[in-house]
Amino acid sequence: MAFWNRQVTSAMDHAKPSESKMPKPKGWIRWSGLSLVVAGVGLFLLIGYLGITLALKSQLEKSVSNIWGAKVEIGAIDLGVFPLGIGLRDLQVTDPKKPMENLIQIHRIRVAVNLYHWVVGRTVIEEVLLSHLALHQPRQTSGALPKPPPTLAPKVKAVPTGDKKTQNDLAIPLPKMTVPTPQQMLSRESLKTVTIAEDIEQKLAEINQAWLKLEAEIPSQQYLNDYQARFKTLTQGKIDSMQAFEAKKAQFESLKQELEGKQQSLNAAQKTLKNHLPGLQRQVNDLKKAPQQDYQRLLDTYSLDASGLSNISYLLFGPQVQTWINEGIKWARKAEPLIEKFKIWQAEKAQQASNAVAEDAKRFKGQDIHFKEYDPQPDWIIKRIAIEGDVKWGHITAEATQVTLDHPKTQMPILFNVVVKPDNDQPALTLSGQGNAIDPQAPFTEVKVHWPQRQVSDWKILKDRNLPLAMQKAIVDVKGHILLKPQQQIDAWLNLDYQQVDMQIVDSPSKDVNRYLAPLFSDIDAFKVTTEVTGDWYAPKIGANSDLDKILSGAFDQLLTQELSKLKTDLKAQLDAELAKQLQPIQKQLSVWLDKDSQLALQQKGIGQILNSNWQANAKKALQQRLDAEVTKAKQQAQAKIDAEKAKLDQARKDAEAKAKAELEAQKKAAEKKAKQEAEKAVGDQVKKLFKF
Amino acid sequence: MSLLVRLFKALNANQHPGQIALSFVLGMILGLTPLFFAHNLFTLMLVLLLRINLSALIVATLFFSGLSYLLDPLFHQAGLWILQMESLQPLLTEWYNQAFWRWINFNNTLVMGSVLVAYGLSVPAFVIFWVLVKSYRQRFLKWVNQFKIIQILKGAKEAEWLSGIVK
Repeated sequence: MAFWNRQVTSAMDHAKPSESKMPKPKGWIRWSGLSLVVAGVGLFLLIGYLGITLALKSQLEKSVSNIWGAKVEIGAIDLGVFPLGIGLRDLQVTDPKKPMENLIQIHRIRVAVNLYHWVVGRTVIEEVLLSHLALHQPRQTSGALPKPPPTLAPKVKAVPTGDKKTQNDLAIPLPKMTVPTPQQMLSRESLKTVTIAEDIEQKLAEINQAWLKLEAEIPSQQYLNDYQARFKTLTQGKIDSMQAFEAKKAQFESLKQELEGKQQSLNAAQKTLKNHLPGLQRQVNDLKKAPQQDYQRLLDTYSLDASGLSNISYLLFGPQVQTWINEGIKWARKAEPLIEKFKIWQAEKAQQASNAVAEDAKRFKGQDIHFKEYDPQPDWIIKRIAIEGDVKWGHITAEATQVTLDHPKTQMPILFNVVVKPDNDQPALTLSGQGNAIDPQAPFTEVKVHWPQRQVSDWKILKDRNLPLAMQKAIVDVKGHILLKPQQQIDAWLNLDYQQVDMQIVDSPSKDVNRYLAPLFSDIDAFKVTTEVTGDWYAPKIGANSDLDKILSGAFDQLLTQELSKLKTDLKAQLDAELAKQLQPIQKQLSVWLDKDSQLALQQKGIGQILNSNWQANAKKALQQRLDAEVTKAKQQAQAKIDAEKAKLDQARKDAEAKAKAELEAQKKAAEKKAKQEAEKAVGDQVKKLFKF
Repeated sequence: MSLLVRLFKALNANQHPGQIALSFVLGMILGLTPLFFAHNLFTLMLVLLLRINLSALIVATLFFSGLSYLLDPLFHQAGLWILQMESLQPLLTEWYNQAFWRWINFNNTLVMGSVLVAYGLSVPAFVIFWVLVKSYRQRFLKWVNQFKIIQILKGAKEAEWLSGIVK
């Protein structure tokens, strides 16, 4: 019976009274379904586990190997639920350049994922633990890929390194260090002493020629004496009259004219000497200093000195810094494909998310209500990475926190701290720093390097044929700072403070090195080195400075003091002899010219005295005085006459006045007598009138 | 047509009316709530564990899915009301920070509203469906079977079954 009919019939039968014929409905629990659920869940877990542990392992190995360019092998993958995580065992990353060597080998990697954030669509990894890390471990089988896909292989640019150079290419061209004899030096070199002396002699010859032309015009002393005698005669003679004065004046003018002509000749001679003599004197002074300068220059030329060792810091430490940078660049380039892949994956993920949002919803999807989140995190973050392992320097422990590219959201930089503890209980190397992109416009990464009291032993500083320098032992304090800026710019410095240094140059084929440099390095006890790296990451400008240069120079000078003492003495003696040889005739000639210059000055002075004398004025003055005396005398005589005449006139006036006065008195008395008489008469008349009355 | 056949098949099946009613209820839950969300794993588990009628489940799912297009705004409002209820904020915030609750998308207004409504209606719906199925079997089954279309369908099924045998 068909299922349909069976069901319907049975249902219809069920409706009928004869129910005993119908099969009873089965119970509420579908046991087959339960089995199916259990089996389904079990199968899901099994397939999931196996899929992840086996298929994912295989897929990971294949894809990462292709990206890396060499075999990347995973021993096993395991999964954890509480906490949710994934683990890798025995990860081996082959060095692409050395297929029989594992560049990185990690025994155990454990990744703990945050379930909550995973559910909400974020990749928040609570912790990544890498234990038993080892570098450069040998492989049992080759790790080269059979046919590396050329498109996925990392394009590692050729980094210029000195590794491929031969020993001969590496040989440093050292300055010439053989000490020659003084005779060799003097025969090869042109001495400044001789050059200056020759120049002086040439100038003396020029003066001589000029002097010969002027000599005829220059007055002799006899001439000058004669002029002075003539002048004396002129000045001592008595000037009685203007005629005498005019005559002497004419003689003086004649003398003056002659003297002025001679004075011009003297001036020209003096000018010639003044033009040349100061320069000559300076040159003579230079000549006196020249032997010392020749001496120093010859020492510099024929010996190792500070200039010969000025670049010793870069010579010694520049290549080491370059090696470190090359190592960093090598690792950066190796990581580039992985970082690139990660960025592409992130971009694809973001694109998918945006596409999903862009899709039109077939059914209304509601609205997500957001509540306060206790632990907000960006879409991708590793909260902590811990690495522990052994590298060739010692035991390394590294920790990084808040590893994410979304710093603007976390507002926290990536903090990292790497400690490498050497095997022999030495102080540890610490690298600490941060990767900070909180401001996306100005991201930076900085690393502080600190390695106190690091013991150095058997370090071959230079594997050079000529200069095989090795540091047998030393203690160095290392401090540094590396700043990686946008646009692949680096600004870094590293200070190395070496103490208790024991440096040796062993088995150099160069006699010069063994003789001169080896003792210098043996004597060095302490020095400091400062290196600077600036510019582009991949083509940085490297500078290395240290007080080693100064120390070496000082030490070398000390060594040379012994080695060159005889040379110096001989050289100095020879140079002094040369100076004496050159200087003696020059000084003789010069003294002659200086004497002549003095004589000219004296002559000039004599002529000047004559020319500048006040003879005319004195004569005029004397003449004036005499005139004044005559005038005074005439005035006095005239005054006497005037006074005599005046006295006579006064006497006459007095006599006249006395006569006039006497007459006036007589007239006055006669008038008074007459007036008295008239008055008496008038009074009598009046009395008479009165009495008549 | 297929849906109709399935419906009659479910109603006529040799199962308890309660099982049929439960099938409709589970179908209602599947239909009313958004399908591909974690809460439906629980519904699916019930479907697998309980002996229900799959035809009834499918019919109910399809029917209520269509209905849900009309009811989604109401579900959204209900969910929004619950999720914004002041007294529930501490609890909801706590849930929001737990993986399980985020997994089931409790903070989505549509999920919250539709699940609450669907599960809230499940008990009365179960009773109603039970009564309806029982009533159908007692009063309408015989009458329905007299329809020619049912006879044709029966014949078609018979022929199909026979052809399968001959082969």
